Amino acid sequence: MEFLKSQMDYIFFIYGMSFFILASSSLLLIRDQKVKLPWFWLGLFGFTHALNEWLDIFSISVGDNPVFGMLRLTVILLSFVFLAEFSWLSFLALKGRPLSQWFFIPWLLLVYSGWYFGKDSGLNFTCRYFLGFVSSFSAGIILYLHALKLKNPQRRLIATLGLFIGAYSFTQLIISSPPALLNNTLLNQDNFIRFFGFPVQLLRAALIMCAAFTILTYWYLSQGLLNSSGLGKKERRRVLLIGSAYLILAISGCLITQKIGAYFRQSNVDELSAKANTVSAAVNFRRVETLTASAADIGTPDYERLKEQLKAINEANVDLTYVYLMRFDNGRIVFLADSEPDSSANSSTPGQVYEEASPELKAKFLSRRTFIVDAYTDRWGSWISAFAPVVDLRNNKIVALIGMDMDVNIWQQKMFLHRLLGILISFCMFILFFVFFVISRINRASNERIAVSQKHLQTLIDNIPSPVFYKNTQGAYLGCNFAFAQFFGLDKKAVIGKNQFDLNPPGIAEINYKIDMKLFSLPNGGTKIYESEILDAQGIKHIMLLNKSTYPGPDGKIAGLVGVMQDITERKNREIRLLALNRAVEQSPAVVVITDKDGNITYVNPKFVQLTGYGYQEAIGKNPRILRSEEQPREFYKNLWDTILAGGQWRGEFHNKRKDGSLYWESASISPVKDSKGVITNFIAVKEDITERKRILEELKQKNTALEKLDQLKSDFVSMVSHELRTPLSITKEGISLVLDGVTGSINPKQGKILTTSKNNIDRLARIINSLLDISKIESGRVELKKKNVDFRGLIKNVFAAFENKAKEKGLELRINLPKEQGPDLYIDEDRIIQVFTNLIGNAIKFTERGHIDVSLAQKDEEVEFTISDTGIGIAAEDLPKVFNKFLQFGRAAGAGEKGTGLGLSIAKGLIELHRGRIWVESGPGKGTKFIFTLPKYHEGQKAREYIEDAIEEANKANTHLTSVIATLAYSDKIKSISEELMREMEKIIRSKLYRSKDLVLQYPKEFFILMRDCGKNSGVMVQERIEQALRIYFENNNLANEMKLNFGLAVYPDEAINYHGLVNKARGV
Amino acid sequence: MSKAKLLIIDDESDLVEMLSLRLEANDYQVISASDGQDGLDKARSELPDLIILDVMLPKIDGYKVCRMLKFDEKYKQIPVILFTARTQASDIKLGADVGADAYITKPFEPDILLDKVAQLLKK
Repeated sequence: MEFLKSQMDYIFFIYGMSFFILASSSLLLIRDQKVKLPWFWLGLFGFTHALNEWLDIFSISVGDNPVFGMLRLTVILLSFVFLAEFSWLSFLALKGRPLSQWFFIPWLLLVYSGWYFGKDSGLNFTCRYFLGFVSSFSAGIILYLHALKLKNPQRRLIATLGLFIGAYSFTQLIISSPPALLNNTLLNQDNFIRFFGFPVQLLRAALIMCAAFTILTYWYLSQGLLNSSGLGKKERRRVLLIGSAYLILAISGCLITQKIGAYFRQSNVDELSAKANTVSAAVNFRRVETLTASAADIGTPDYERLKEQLKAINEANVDLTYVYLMRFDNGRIVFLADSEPDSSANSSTPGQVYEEASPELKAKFLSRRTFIVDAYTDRWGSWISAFAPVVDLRNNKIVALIGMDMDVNIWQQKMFLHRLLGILISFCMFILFFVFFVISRINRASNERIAVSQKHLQTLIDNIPSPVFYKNTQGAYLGCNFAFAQFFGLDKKAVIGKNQFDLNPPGIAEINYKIDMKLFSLPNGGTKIYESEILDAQGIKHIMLLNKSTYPGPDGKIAGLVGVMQDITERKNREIRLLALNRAVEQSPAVVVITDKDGNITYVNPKFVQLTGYGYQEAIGKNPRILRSEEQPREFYKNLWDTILAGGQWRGEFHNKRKDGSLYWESASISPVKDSKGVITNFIAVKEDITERKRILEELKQKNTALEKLDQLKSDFVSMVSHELRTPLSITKEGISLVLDGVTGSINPKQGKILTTSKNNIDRLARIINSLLDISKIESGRVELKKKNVDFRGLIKNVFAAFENKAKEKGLELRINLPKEQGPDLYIDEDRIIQVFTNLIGNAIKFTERGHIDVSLAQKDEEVEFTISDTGIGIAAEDLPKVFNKFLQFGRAAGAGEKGTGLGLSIAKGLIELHRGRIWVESGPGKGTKFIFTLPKYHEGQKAREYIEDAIEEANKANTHLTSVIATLAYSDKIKSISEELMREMEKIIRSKLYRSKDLVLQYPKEFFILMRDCGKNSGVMVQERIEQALRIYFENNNLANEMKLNFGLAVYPDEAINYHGLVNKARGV
Repeated sequence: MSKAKLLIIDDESDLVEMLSLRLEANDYQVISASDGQDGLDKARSELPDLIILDVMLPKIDGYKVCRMLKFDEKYKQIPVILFTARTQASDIKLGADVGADAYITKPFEPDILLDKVAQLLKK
């Protein structure tokens, strides 16, 4: 206890330090988001209270005085006010409403009343009790209640803090000089220390340290430096380090103080001893010896002289209270003289026994040494005394002892004063340590913040899809984002340190480098945006938009630049494409009109202006109906709008009016433009001036009609002519026959011969006429073939029978070669083909003298090939091309027999070609002749043609449109042939998509003809698309999509073709 | 057996003359008319056993005459041979449509004509 009492000053230092730490910890929490308490005020409380305690040190060390006391009181009052403020604001934070101001008034009044009741000590009492206790207790409670309200796991710490502060509040009640009531209770510092053995300040210090520690722990947790498993290793070590450092600091401070105190104590002791020695030497021992130690001494000159000397010495030494002489007499210590005047109560009469003398003192008395007796109490008070022997120099006997008393308190004060130095040193150490700690904390915090912000920055720029980089003023890359590294095919880390020339080829790098340097040279930095071609890791050129900005360093000067690259290659390409498209539309020979969704014109191209006469500005905003002539019915426009509003494409022809009123025709295709949601935003019309075309078509139609009329006329003419020619022939022939037959009487042979000759020539004439009519009909396409299925074997056999004899007559062999297998039928006009055979075989017989005539046939895929070959005289090479011409005959040397007409071969050719076959000749002089012709095999397709031709006829008569769609099947080599089943299936699907009964589908080999009567182009296209889609789906579902495809073509009668061939060819795309 | 009565309706008088000579030489009785109307009248009044009918006739053409006769109950049993220079398929078809029993083209082979006549008369 005594030891601790002597360490009070240091204890106050520690006490103050703990408040300081509490205050600093509180300040850390100011930024805490979770517990929004007015930590600032707690901090202020801590700081001021620390100041107060440190001032208390001074009161111990230097001594108290009223002014100093007032100062300390003010400080402590202030600190409690801060604490009260903390409580009040915490209450506000807790309850949301402030504590009534009236709450504090009574307390303040009470505090003030202390002054009236007890001046300083009263004020001290009231201050501590009514302000200190109340504010700290309320703070504790509020903290505890606040902790209950919190949800986070750290709330326990807040509650603990509350508890500590609450406990501390109770220690406030234990004060140094309480009012009389509490003098004998524990609520007295001295009693406390007597009871517990340690001063209450130590308890307070401990509680405050615990509170500070709680706050620090809380702060650590809220910083995330603690995790669930306790402190992170690094932090743990750091905390340990700091804790140990603090402990070492405290202990070493104590030791230093102690050592310094001890040192100075010793020096003071020495000083005191020295003083005692000096005094003892100064005293005249002889005089001392004359003293009797009795009342008789009073008044004697020696006595008086000694007393004055003692008095003088006492006065000379302010810190001494008494100086006196003592003698050891019969085992008792008696006073001889002292420095007090006789009249004083404290003086000792000579001979007065010093009863309080302890045996140790007595023992020391005789030791002949100067000694110090430390801290003892006698009737005069508590002292530290120095004793020095007065020695009789003559016989070295101790005559008396000089005693010097110093008040213990004064001594203590001296000690404390000296210890102050130690405390100051400790204080400096502590402050240094604290500052160092704070600085390193700030540093670390700022580093962490930099690291975190850099990490954030890195994450941020990594998330930017465009390449981002930053470099220093030397041009070396300091960092970049993922996109940048990837672009150049490098690792992010690898980029750091590299420069422009490492990443780009010299040309590009040079340009960029110049720009960088330019930016760096600007006094306030700047930004530059420009386009550059950059090669990526694969060497592909990208056009990049580069945005470079300088950034300043902490010293305000330019530290580097940040760059962002944006790949605008695609954009540039699109721009070029757009430009090209734009130009295409501008320069298009077709008229382009774009309207908004309400049909108002937003754009027209120059061709529009040229065609309609309306200028660009005139047309914008107007509705296309300004072009309407009144020629077309309302339904026409209604149909147009219905189609395009429904999202479909409309094609048709407008009879429009120019600005000058003149009319023109245009063929238009109008489609809607939809946005990504399928909502119509615009309409586009592409139109073509077809006025000329229409005029030509009209002319053509008229000419055609005229031609047809002409044709009809010709037909009639031919019929009439044939009738007119034949009638006289018949009559003449009949007349001759009659006479020849003897109906009119008998005739002589000569008459007979002449008449016969005449008759033969009539026949010849008849044949010529027939041939002429035939060829005329064939050439003008007026021959109707009466086609039917014909078995060619039978055909050949007939022909053979007819000519067998003729050939025999001339001594020639007629041979027929028929293949063994049963062939298909031919779909031919039997009579006409017989006519062809007749002609060819007749010719063969005519022009062959010896040998044979062969008739053979060969079957091909689609046709049958007939060959009539003879061993006759052949045909000269120069004549070969003219063989099928009219009226040419070769080798008229052939004698008897029918004379030819010269038309036979051209008729044969015409007939064969009408059958869609081919005919040609192979021959050479003396090598015989071969005539070869082909006839198509019968297949379903023949029927289709009849249908189509009928349909054309009908459309012509009814003045309707006929649309024909031809779907041609294309398939890869993998497929050998198309099965009938597949064809049937496809036909079925097509059929299902034709919704009218008057529409037909016909099969050709590998083709489907779809015939739609009374159907125009638009509807036809719709149906075609329907069918196309249905078949596409069919192919996909049956895994045929890769092998097979149907190509569609469409043709409209009479717009695009006027006969079967025309229609079919257009639809086939030929 | 009485001779069969043949009616020739043709506007070519020369031809009619030749034809008549031929037919009479073959033991037929021949009457003639030179236009459609006359032909019809004679057909109805004379009731021949066979009619040889030219197509190109004035007043009423041969097809019409044929049709009128053939669609008339009283005269439809009289066989009609159409006699013409027209050989188009359509003409022949037309002939069939109007009910002609035979069709002969000019110029004709006398044998063929005689055969046809005999054939038709036999029925």
